[in-house]
Order: sequence, then C-alpha cells, then structure tokens
Amino acid sequence: MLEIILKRIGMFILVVIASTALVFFMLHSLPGESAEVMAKYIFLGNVELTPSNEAIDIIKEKYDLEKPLFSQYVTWVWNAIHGNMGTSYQTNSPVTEEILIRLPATITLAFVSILLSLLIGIPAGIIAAVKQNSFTDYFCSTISVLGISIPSFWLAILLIYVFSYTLGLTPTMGYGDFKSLILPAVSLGTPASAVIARLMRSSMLEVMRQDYIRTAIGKGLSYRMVILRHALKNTFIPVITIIGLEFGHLLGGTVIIETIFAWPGIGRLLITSITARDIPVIQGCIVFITITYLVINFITDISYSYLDPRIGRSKH
Amino acid sequence: MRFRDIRLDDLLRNKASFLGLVIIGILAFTAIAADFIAPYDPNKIELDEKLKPPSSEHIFGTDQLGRDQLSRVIHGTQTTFKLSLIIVTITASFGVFIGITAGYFGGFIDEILMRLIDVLLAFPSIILALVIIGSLGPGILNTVIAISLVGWLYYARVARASTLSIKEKEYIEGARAMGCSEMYICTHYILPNCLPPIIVLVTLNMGGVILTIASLGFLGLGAQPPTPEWGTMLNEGREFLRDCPWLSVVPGALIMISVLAFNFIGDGLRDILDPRQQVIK
Repeated sequence: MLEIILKRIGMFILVVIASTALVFFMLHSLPGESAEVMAKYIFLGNVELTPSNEAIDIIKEKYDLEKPLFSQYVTWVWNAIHGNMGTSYQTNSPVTEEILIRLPATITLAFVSILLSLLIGIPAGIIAAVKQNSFTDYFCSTISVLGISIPSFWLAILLIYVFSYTLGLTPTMGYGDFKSLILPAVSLGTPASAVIARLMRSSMLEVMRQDYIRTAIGKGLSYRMVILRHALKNTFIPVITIIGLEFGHLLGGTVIIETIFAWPGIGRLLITSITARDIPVIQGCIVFITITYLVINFITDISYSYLDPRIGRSKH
Repeated sequence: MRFRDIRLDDLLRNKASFLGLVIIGILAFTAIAADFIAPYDPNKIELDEKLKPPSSEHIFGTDQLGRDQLSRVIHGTQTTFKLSLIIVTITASFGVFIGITAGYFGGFIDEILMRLIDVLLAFPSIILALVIIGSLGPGILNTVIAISLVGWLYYARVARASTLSIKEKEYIEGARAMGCSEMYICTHYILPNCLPPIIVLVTLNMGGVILTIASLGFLGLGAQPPTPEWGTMLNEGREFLRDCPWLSVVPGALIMISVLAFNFIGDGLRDILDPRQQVIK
C-alpha cells in the first residue's frame, strides 16, 4: 500500500510540474503582446490607448520579459512556491491575495453543489436500479438524460426567471446569505447529479448480477439487507471515481455559474482576467484550479485502491 | 463487432436513437438551408421593432436591436453545426492518427505521447480551452483551435486501446506474411477495425462540443456579436430576461435539444456495439 501511495505521489508531482509548465509556456508564448498589454494598464490605465515603445521597453525590463522563457518559468515556480504568484496588471495587488479572497466563495459553492448532486444522484440511481424497468426507473432515467444534456447556464437562466423574477423567492445574484446560494448550487449540481444517478444505476445493476449477491439472497437475507449491506458497498467503487471527475467538471462549471450570478469566486476572476488579458491572474487561477483538481483525483485514486485492494495489486 | 455490422435499422429500432436521428436530421437540414428558410436577414437591425414578443410576424419575437429571433436561431444552427463538424473532424482524424501510431509502433513514441495526453487530461477540459483562449484572445477561430487542441485526447486514447488489441490478431500477422507494408496494415486493417468505438465517441463528443462552443460564446469568449450563435445569443438575451424571456429560452432550448439528440444516438450506438451493456440497460 505504501509503495502504491509513494508511486502515485511521484506521478502527481510530475504532472503538477508538467501542467504548470504547459500553462506558463502557453500564456507567455506571445511576449510582445503581453508587455504591450501591461504597459497599457500600468502607464496609461486604459486598454484603448497605444503605449509608446519606451513604455513597453521599461515593462520588459521590469518584469524580466527579455529573458528566455525557461528562466522566467523557473523564477515563477520559485516565487510561487514561496507564495508569490506575481501581481495583477489590473489591480496591482498580489495574485495570491486575489485568489485567497475569493476562495471561500468558490469552495462553498462547489461543496454545496457536489453535496446536492450526491443527495439526489445516489438515491435516484439506487431506486432506478432496484426497480429496474418500472415506471420509476424510466422516470429517473429520462430525467437524468435531460439533466446531462441541459447546459448549466441555461438552467441557471430558467431558474432565475422562475424563482427570482416570477415568484420573487430568491435573489438574482450576489453572495452572502443562504438564499443566494440556492440557485447557483442547483444549476451546478443538477447536471452532476444526473451523471452520478446514471452511473449509480448501471453500477448497481452490474453488482446485482454477481454471484455473491445471489448467495446472499440464497442464504435468506432480506432484499433490503442485501442491497444495503452487500450491493451498495461494491457499487460505490466506480461511483467514487466519477465523483472525483465530476468535481473537476464542477470546478470548470463554476466559471460560468459564478459569472451569471455575480458570485465573487475564482471562476469569475478567471473570466474577467481573460477578458482583460491579465496574464498573471489567469495563470494563478488556472494553476490553482488544476492543482485542486489533481489533488482531488489523487485522493480519489488512493481511496479507490484502499476500498478495492484488487485494483492496487493488479497494477504491479 | 465490425464497422459494417452497424446497421441503420438496428439504430432505428431504438426509440430514443430514432428520435435523436430525426432531430439531428431536421437541425442539419436547417443548418444547410439556413439562407433559404430564414424569413428575415438575421443581422437586419430594425430599432422600431425591438424586443417584440412572439407573434405571427416574428414567431420567436425580436431582440434588442429588432432582429428577427427565428432567423437568428436558424443561422445559429448553421454556425454551431459548421463549427462542431469542423472541430470533430479535426480532432477525430488527428486523435485516431496519433492513437494508431502510438499503439501500433509502441515503444518510445507511445510512451511520450501517452504521458503528454496524461498531462493534458490533468486539466478540466473547459479550463484548458480557457487557457488557450486566454493566450490567443476571444473569437470563432480561436474557439475552434482551443476546443480542437483539447478534443483529440480522447480519440487518441480510444484508438490506441483498440489498436493494441487489433495488432495481436491473426489477420494482421497474415497481412504481414503477405508482405503488406506497415503503412498499408495501418490504413487497411487497423483503421477500419478501430472505427466502431470511434463512431460512438464522435456522436457523444458532438454533444460535448456543441455545449463547449455555446459555453464559450455565452462567456463572451467565443463567437462575437453580431454573429448569430446560440451561446452568444443567450448571453445577449440574458440582460432582457425579466421582460423578454423568449430571447433566452429559445437558443438555450436548441442547445439542449441538439445535445440530447446526439446523446440519444450515441447511447443507441453503444448498445448495438456493446451487447453486454445492453443487458445491463
């Protein structure tokens, strides 16, 4: 077990290095333009004006943009490890600070959404599988296909129209109280719950056909007992992986949902920075989201091989 | 299951897939014939007519500039279908090429390509698309580039996995014994045999691509106004949601219907290609 974990940690570190390098080189492959954008913000405070060549040169000098990309990357990594991810072109405040301020909002939203999707998805999947081919099953399956296909931003708009404008129950945007959390969480959680319900159902049906379930029923256990004690535990194994993946989707989804609801999180910061071409902030946000995603997948992987020892062994 | 074993009537027997095919047929026709069916010019501004609710003259009403919503939606179908076809063609062919190369030749190339794919898959897909848009700037062409750069990964993985099992088959050995070149074996034996799972992936992927195009458009990073594109239209209509909900409902509904239709077809195809799954369903 320890060996597996060490191996995974090694792989994890490699992927982190490779992915940050990728983001860095992609965003900095246009150095001239980047210096120009910076000069616009720093000297002119306005993107519409064109900065002079002197201004661009000063910026290049100041931010070491003349150096080769690789040494820029090494400097950036060194600083990032020490908690310094550069300063925003727009606000001139440290990127780390910009991200940390917005962290609680995104964490709250992501956490509540995934919780919601599990609370809906898992029971719906179990019920659909247990009552296979019944009306309930068809109903759940139809709803979940719809749930997978509905764009979260459209769902959000429909929810705003119905619950905020027509019924006046929830605020259309903002952050703070519980009420303002409901619509964003539902818009994000619904598609995820549909994916989880579908997987839960097929995984449960697969488990129900196994010999040990037949044995459990054969030795006289009640159906309910078989489902709860024997089937559920084995059903969860593939579901846990998908929860990890769904969390990644959710992090991506927060970008859109936060924009719609003016939710002051990292996703919205990312979009406003992309529009303003504020490279240090874009880089910070993406690296942050990617590392979070990698950590979650790492934890999923480990718990996976813990829950099902067969998986860890087969890889050796 | 071979490619020629996918028969259309199997697919038509599945009610959901049949419905999916009908919807895609209608939408594809709309996209091709957009110039002829659209009752008005999608970009014609008539400020006197702005924000009119649906009526017999304008079935889906008019937008903030008095443009006919129905005509815009019809041309939006064209934009979306054109973009997603381009993207899927690029990603599927590139991904399959890489996948077969890596799987067939193995060794060093395989190792490098697979590690590269592992790294790229470490990002949530929309985030990677956002990085690319972030460095290239918003726009339709950059949308295509961004989604394509991310999209080929899955095709490469699937094609590689199929190639690995196909290349052990006896008929490959036979072909080699007959003196076929590596190139000929790849194009005439491996490629046709690894197509079925790729076709399933293409249909399922179409839905995802349509969603991503719309998401980027909605965020203001994809197609720019006045291009009629569903996501962009949805974003423009959002401002007038309280009084003119039709501006948001119609484009969104079309995004959902097309994604749903492709998912229906994809599910149906998967059932045909993987009978074990069918039993579970």
